[in-house]
Amino acid sequence: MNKKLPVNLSPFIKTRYAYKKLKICRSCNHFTVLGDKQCMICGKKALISIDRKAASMLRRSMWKARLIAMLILLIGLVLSQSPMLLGLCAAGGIVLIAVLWIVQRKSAPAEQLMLLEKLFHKEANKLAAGLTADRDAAIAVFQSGNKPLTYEMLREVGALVQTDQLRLEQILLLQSFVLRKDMDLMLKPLLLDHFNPDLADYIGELSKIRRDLIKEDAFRYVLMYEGQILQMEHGESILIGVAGAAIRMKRYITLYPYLIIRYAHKLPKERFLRLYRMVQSSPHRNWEQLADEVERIYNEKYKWDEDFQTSHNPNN
Amino acid sequence: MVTYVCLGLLFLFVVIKSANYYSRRKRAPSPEQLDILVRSILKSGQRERE
Ligand SMILES: [Zn+2]
Repeated sequence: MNKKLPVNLSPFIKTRYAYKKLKICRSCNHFTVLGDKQCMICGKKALISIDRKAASMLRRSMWKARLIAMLILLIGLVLSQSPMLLGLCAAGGIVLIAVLWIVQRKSAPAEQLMLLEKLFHKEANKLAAGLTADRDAAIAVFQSGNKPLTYEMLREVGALVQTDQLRLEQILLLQSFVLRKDMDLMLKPLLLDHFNPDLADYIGELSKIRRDLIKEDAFRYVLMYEGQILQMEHGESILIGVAGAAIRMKRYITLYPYLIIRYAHKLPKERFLRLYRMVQSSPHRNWEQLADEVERIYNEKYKWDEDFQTSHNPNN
Repeated sequence: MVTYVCLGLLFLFVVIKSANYYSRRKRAPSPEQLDILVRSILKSGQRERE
């Protein structure tokens, strides 16, 4: 196995909705999730966030309607034959334009979403091409040797493009890094729908440093491919790690008792101690089989262990 | 006379525009739907490439 690279990764900036990661070039309509201001295609510093683009489209469409209304009013004013008619026209016109303005303001949020939907449909090809260009840019960076930056770029693209190939590329890169607790790592977006040993390895590593990232989908993945994982060189230690991660929460213990039962006897002492205490403190839960196994292991290995005699609240 | 016509025209324009806005408000996608739309566009874009 290659030597792993110690790296620093910048944190991933999460947006509430993935599409808000998109930027668009004001000059050539090129879509991207990379880059700050400068457009990759036309070279101009014209990149703006998709929200800003939507807001400017909205302003334009609303002003168009207002200008038409004002034009009609203006014609009426110019052609009015008496001061009385002029006054009537001005007053009526202003009221009507005010009504239009208010309706527009109320409709603005929905209208902005409509305009975005229209834009995505209209520019679907450009959108796809833009993200493909982003991925190609990441591959070019990889070829130049900057693996961490490649990962960061692929991570941005992967927020929107959810293909197995892109997930796999990210997993392979992550597996070439020395992973640390303080890194901004993720698991859920990288889960594949087939067995992959690198992904299994990655889950195994997360079970040591970021147990909090191992959630239902990851447990399901591991259980689904347990047989294949066991055939891997360090397969069993991956499963032990994942079983250890399941002890993090009572909820997971309830959901995956058999996973824990199968690997409980190989858990490190600190994890088993936590399991032991959780089982002890929850006699009302239906964990009979698990409780039996825990009791058996306790009697076999830890009966005389001092740590198991003192009671304090487990955490983590 | 022309003034009345203009005023009537403006009234009609504002009413139609407003009705239009109201009906669009109901048809507007949610941000979640936009996410799904963008992802499906990108997914089919990728498939075409492969
Ligand atoms: Zn451009």
